[in-house]
Amino acid sequence: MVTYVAIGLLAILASIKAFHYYYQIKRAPSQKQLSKLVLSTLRRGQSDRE
Amino acid sequence: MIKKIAVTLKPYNRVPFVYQKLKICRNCRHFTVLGERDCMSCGKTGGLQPVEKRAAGIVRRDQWLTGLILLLLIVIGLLFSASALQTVLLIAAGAAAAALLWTLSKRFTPALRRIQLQKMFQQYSYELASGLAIDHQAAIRVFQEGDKPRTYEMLREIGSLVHNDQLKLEQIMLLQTFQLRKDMDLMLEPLLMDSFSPDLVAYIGEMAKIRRDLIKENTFRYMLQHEMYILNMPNGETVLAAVAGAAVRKSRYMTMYPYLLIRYARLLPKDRFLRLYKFAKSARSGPLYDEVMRIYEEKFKWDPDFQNA
Ligand SMILES: [Zn+2]
Repeated sequence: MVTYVAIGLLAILASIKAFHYYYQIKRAPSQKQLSKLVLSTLRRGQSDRE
Repeated sequence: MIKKIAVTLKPYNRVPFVYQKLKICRNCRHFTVLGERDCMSCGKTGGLQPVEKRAAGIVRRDQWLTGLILLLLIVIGLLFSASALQTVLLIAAGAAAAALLWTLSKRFTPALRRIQLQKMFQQYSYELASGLAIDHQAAIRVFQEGDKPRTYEMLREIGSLVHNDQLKLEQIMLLQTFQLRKDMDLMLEPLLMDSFSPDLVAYIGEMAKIRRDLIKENTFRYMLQHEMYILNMPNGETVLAAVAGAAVRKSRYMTMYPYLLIRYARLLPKDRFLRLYKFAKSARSGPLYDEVMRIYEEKFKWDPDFQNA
């Protein structure tokens, strides 16, 4: 019985992970977007301090 | 006039994407573009790590954790297996899950790392901004200690991420105290500001002499935009002529900025004017052509170099 539960959990783990990967990949930023994010954060950070 | 000092500058380390210059402290999450290994904020030795490496580490840790859970489930299943059929089924399911997750993680690792980086920058945006401010203070401290070349190198690194006129001006002021040479790793376009600055114009003038290749569209635009102010400077006209001389480098620039050339063609040295003359001759008409021909008639009509052109 326990073995079947383990098999079930394996299947669930694999599908959750796979689903999670696909979901995340869709909203992964490009390297250019990451650069922009950093630059805009730093621009904002400056005006906060001024 | 300040006496210019001879310096050696380290070459600038260019990266495809600016965020790749950032490092983060493993201990206190202090961000920096300056540190080599030790954290300036908490003092931890070897605490600094490039952000990309850090993101890769987090992704790897997640993947190991998933692998561990997978293994744990297989081991528990095996221990409680009551028949050969159960064992076979379990191993098949385990192998399938492992293969699926391995393939996916292999394929998606670069994207997963970028997601981690995004999270890191968003979550620690305050640390990011204050980290760069601390870097700037460190540069000012080095300046006060008297090491100008090192200060410039530090400001140049900070300037790759923080784009403001003050930082640009500080770099230009330092550069103006150095004896600049052709073989130095210099830059111009990243230092262009929005407002008029005589120091920047003087620097552009120097670049027009030793590194014409650095003078590009944005510089021409800057010179034209602030032309009236530049002409009020003691040697403003000379700088404008030198920049016009740099525009002669490419026919694209001559097509794009004819008025700069019309106004300063008369002040160009012979070799520069010859290039402009060849270009204007091929264009055959227009206000630039008229002006160039007028100067040619006045100054170079009998010059043998122009006869063969
Ligand atoms: Zn630290």
